[in-house]
Amino acid sequence: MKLFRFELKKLLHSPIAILIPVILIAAGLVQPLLYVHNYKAVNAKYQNKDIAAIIAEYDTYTQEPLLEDIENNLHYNELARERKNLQRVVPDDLLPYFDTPIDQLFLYSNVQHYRDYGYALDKPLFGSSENASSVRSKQSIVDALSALTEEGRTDSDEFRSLMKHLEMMKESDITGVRYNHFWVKLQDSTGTILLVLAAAFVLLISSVFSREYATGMYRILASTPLGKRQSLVCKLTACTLLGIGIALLMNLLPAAVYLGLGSPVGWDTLLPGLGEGWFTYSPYSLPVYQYFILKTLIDCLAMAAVGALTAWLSLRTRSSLHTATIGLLLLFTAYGATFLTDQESVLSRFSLTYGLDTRMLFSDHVVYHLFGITVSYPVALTLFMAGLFVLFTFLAFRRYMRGKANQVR
Amino acid sequence: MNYRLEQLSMRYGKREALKDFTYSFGTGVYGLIGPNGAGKTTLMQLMAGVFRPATGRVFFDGEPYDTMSPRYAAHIGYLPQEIVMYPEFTVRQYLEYVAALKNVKDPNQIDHFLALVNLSDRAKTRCGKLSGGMKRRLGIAQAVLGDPRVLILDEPTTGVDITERVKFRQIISELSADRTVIYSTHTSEDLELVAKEIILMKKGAIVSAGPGAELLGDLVGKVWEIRLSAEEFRAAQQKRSDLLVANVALDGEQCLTRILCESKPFEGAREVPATYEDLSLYIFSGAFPAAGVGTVQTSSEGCEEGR
Repeated sequence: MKLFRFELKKLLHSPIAILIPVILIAAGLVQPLLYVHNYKAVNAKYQNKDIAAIIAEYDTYTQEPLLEDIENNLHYNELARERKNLQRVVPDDLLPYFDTPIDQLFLYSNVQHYRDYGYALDKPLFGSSENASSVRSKQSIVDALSALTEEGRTDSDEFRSLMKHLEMMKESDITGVRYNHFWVKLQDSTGTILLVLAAAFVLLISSVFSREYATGMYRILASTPLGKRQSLVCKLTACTLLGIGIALLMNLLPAAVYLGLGSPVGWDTLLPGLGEGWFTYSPYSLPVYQYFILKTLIDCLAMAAVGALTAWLSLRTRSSLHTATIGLLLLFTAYGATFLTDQESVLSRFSLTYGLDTRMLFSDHVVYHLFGITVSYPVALTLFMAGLFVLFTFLAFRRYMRGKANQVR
Repeated sequence: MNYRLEQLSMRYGKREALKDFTYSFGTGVYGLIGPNGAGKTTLMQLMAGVFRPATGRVFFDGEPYDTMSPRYAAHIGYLPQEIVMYPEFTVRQYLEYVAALKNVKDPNQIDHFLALVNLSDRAKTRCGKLSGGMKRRLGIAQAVLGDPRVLILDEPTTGVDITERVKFRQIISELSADRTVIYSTHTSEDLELVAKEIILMKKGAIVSAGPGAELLGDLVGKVWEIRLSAEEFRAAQQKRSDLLVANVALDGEQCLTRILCESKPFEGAREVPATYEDLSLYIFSGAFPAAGVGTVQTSSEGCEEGR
């Protein structure tokens, strides 16, 4: 335990260590607090006005930014028309959730109409199935299934994939409404911020091993009874726990604010029912609270993988600069791959970038076919992250314990 | 206590850095002298378990040990040539860290060894703020934590002033009372007063080894001093190619010249006692190599080898 504390202290002595909590507090705490505060302030302001009067003041509105949307112009006529639709769509038993005018306004933006379009991306890894992505309606999927049946290809990967997609679309059909405003804000709050934190994390731990070689301290470490195995375990554990800690805080801090100080209502909304960009066409009928738990776990696993990879680079290159450079390049591989190829490829989909932004995993229907087994993209990427973590931890172990002379001189 | 090295070898690519090194150590100070590239640091790192030797074995009291095992490392204390520590740690934190690495349970050891190296009043000072001599003493303290049976010190007095070197010798003497101290240095005076045996190494092998007095005995009748003018000296060198000049000190218009020679080199030369520096020069220069016309061989020429 003492050795672990010292290894952690060595990692945290870098000036970068101050940057991480600053980002966490700003993005994970301050921003959500400001939002919730503003939301409640506006809510209180309009508490006593009826819906017609509020609508009369506004022209158009979206969810963001809160104050500007409400206090700027809305097209009254348009809203009046939509308000009629709203009254038709909202079931009576849900109306008690929306007892404040602002709730009702947000209710409008979260109305999920009957969805008859889905977005299917089917990319088999093996086999001869077609390799095109296309926007498909439910009817077109049924047509494709009929054609495959006539060709006698009901046992093909493509047939199975289309059937799965149809089932998922059916499960995620939603009528009516879900009030889930703060869940929407929550799922939107991490994303690229976690990528920025991961970059700072790479910079922070890039010297975990390289510093020992640069200072010559490795010679003393190697000559002590615990300086090899236990020291290695403590270093890797420190890197892993720091990464997981950052991911946990970046998920739990805003959750505490949005759901605790805001409202947890809508915790059982299915993902597509969130009614916003990322998951509009999501085929995953996950309640949003389950998505949040999965998201947090995948973020932790991805950060652990980043930690193991960076630690191995630090050991391999013996240079903090090289480690940081290569680590950051790998972290942003997806952006580079997309820039070069102008479309998402396996390289970008199986990158640390996507591992740290789980919206990418659940927004589309993507499956992979491996030796006859169909694996959904979220499962495939989770296994990939776990594999990265195990692989680079093992490689770091092997290299450090080998103790070859040419690694020291 | 007997610490024995048998047939230790190490190779860096095609270069043989250490060749079949075999030696037995008991209690006391053992000096390791040699020019750059002699293999001293390689030997010390092998003994410290920093990396595995290509061949060879190590024994404690007849029992073989794997130099890479924690069991072996528990008997070793190592001070590398470079000053290594973390500037942000305080002196106490640094020793606590090394104590954790050595699995030292007794918290009193840190205070005890801080007192031994006269750094008790600096326990809360950051390592980055210490002077060079203090850092070297802190290095000794970390090496001796855990009370190892063998202390390996690689050029511990490099860059240290005379006051600190004297303190160092006192500490080493005290420590060597009940353990083996293996001490490499370029400064032979460090060993003259404390070393039990001297090992002279060149090109990865032992050239000569044994009690200092015996080794110096080989130079009886071979070390001379004489006062000559510069012209006289140059003329003498042209006639005598077997001269090896150990030192030239200007004294007015004359030079007090220290010479190694098998017999009395000039009339008026007087025999003087040999030192370890003379011994090193005698061994490493190949004993009286032919001097070029107009050149003076000093103790530093002919001994520089790449690492």
